[in-house]
Amino acid sequence: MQREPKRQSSLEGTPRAIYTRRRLIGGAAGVATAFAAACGGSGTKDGSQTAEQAAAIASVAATTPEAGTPKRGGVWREPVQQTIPNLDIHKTNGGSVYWDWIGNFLVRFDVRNPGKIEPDIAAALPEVPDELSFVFKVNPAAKWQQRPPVDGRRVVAEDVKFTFEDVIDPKTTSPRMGNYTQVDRIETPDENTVVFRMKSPKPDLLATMADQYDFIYPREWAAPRPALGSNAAEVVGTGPYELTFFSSDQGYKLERRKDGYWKPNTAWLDGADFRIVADVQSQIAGLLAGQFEGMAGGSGFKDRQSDVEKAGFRVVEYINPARNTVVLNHKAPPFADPRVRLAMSRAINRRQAYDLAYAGAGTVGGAISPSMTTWRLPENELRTLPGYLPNHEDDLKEARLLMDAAGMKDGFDVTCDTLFGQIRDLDTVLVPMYRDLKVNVTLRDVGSGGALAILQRYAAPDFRIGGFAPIAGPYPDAQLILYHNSNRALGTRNYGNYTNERVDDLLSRQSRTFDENERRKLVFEVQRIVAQEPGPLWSGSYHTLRAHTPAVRGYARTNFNSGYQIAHNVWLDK
Amino acid sequence: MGRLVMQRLLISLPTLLLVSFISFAVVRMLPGDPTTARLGEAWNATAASEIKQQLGLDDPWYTQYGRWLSGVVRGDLGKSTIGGEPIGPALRSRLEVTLLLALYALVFATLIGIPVGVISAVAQYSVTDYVLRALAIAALAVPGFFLATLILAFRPFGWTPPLGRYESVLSNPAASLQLLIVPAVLLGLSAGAGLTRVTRTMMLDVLRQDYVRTAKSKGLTELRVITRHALRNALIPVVTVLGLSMVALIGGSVIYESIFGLPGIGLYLLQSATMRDYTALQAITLTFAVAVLVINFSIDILYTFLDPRLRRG
Repeated sequence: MQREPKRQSSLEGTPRAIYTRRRLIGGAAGVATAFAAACGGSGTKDGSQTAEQAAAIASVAATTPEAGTPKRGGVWREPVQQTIPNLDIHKTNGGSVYWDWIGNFLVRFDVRNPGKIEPDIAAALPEVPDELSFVFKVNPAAKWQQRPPVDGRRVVAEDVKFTFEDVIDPKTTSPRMGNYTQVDRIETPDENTVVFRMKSPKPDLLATMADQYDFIYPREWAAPRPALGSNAAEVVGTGPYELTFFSSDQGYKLERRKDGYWKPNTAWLDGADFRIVADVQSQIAGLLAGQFEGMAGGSGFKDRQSDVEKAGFRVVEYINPARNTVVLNHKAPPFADPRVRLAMSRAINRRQAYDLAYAGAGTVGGAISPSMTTWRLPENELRTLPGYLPNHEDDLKEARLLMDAAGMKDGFDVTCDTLFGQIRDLDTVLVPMYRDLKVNVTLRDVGSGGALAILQRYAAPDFRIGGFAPIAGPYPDAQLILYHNSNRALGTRNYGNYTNERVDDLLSRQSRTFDENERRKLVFEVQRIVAQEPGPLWSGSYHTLRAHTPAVRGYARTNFNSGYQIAHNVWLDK
Repeated sequence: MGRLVMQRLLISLPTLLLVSFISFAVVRMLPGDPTTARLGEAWNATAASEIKQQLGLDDPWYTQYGRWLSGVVRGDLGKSTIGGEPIGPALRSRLEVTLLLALYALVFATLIGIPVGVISAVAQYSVTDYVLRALAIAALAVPGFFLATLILAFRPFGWTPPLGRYESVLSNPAASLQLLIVPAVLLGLSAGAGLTRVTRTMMLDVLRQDYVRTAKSKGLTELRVITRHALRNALIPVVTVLGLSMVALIGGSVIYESIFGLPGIGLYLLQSATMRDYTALQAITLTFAVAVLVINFSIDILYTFLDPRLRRG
């Protein structure tokens, strides 16, 4: 049965929040069944829920009772696992957790609908008079916190100009410097107007600006630029909370700004207290002891989920923005042969891999994160592509034929570099799947030092295959160009040296196409090709769980994990 | 005593110089560098080159070493290659946590280990002796961090230690103690068990000596014989073990710091290694070396109080 267009269009923009299976069965089953029937399907052939159905259920369930009038008060306490090295967010890729409370973006993602961008410091989304100009107006109400050097003044266009010039400046050494190579210059014709003049069209400029780290800085920081480092008193933003304590090994504290936040009806909490507790089990113990209002579950949380729920906490499951992948070295045998690469991709039973590795807490996907409803291939089409067929035996049969054709009938031995934690969890269950092709994979831990360790391996001459879970911004340029473009200046994360001229051409065209429907066609085509002529072997994304005390209200169950949701929307009913 | 101090200083200096060079060289052999740690997946040659220039990492190795060493001699341990903050204050605050944790653990181990060892020796082959020895073996066999995980996972009596926010012992001694006491007890368990066994062995040896028999035959109470005559002689090797235990406790604190969210040196070391913070790693290694030297020196001083023969020598 075909969906009605109205239903389909509402699904397109619907956040794909995924409930835990308990909640699906327990709470929303009646609604879900009716809705699923109306959507025209009772599920896929193997009984699993389609993404659209999950989204539909979640969108309905998200409106269930968290109603009530927000009230001010309370301190948000949460553990964080990792230290934050530096308060200067422009210089690092860490620290957005607290900057989400302190600062604002020019534009930001809508937490309830991450495919959409909304104004933040900007008064409205920009005018785009031609494909090379973006004209923003600064919100006249936006003002800085009462701290030197800004002392509560209005935000002006020069602040925005300085911010992005700071990110682009090589001396800042921002990890995101390369995101703005197409910006030619930034103009401020008046105090309230900022114009970005581009060298070439970049429809993803707004998404790039919204992507987590490019908070607006005051123009006074142009000279001298403060070292920031770890001095909380030096940090000033436009957001609802001020940083009052920072220690790179203990965490940080924030308090509501005394002059009041310039956005009304938001930021309900008195402050926040984030503590560094490295061990997930310790975090859970702290949560159960009432030391925290919420926590993001890491590896090992799933095993304790029932304990947490029994203690009365609410657990929300969402798709992690990181995408699981297997990186193959295209320049060295045996993976220099595209048939072998495709065979390896077809050997992976992706649904089963997530069931085994993460107890089902994962969503199968392709080159675009399954959380990106606007840009990912529809589920029903994905399941026609190699590696994603509903019946895995069909994929396996083809894989064996490919190996035969490549002269690899007897398989081969290979060492796979992997990382301790969730990446290794998945790599471990893939090993027997490769064995179906007589490929004997030995896992080699490169260490628990995060991405750093595995990135070093990709550059090594003896690298052949490795597991990874990179995170990229929720827009096509970040998800596709960085990992697939054969021009290394653009494909800076094309670790396996994937080369495909057709893909390069499509990537370039989609990056310049403003018409969303036309662009979507190009993006879909890239995903189809990458599945059939693999670069990285994309599997999808594991899920992350968040636990909250029952007193938490206003938290949107969304796949977009941002700190400003709690800072701006959450309140405590106690 | 003065001669001992001078001797130790003279020996320590080349030791520390060697440690400083080894730590400088070894951290630079780790795969990756601060640029890869800071930039991660967004690594690019331009930013990496700029970072190296700003940190002086593009200078020849001997220039980098000389620059750092000259700073150390002047009391400046340098700045973090990741965050830019001075290492000295960062290290001091973390050192307090680790030293206190190790000290409390050692006090606990001593208060439990030595008396239990004495009782076990005096009551040799009795039920008390067997029970205490079994407990000591159990404490040695079961890792303290395993017990720590069990405490956190199963929360006996619904209790969880406060996590993640440490207050200095100078500003809030009660809060500091509250945060450290449980991990200190768990950390000190195996050290205490080890002390029990060593104390028992040494006491048994000493109790068989002629002078102890003489003391008993003179009519002294058993308590006086043990405390005044036997224990003092049995303690010399025990003090050696105490010193080694202290060093091990400082090194072994990292797991407990991680589990209980304590901002100590161990966790700092782990984080610095992950982030390739060269300056911090070098400073921490040097600090550990100084700590070991100071502890060993203190043990030697303590010996002279326990054994007058060493004073005369």
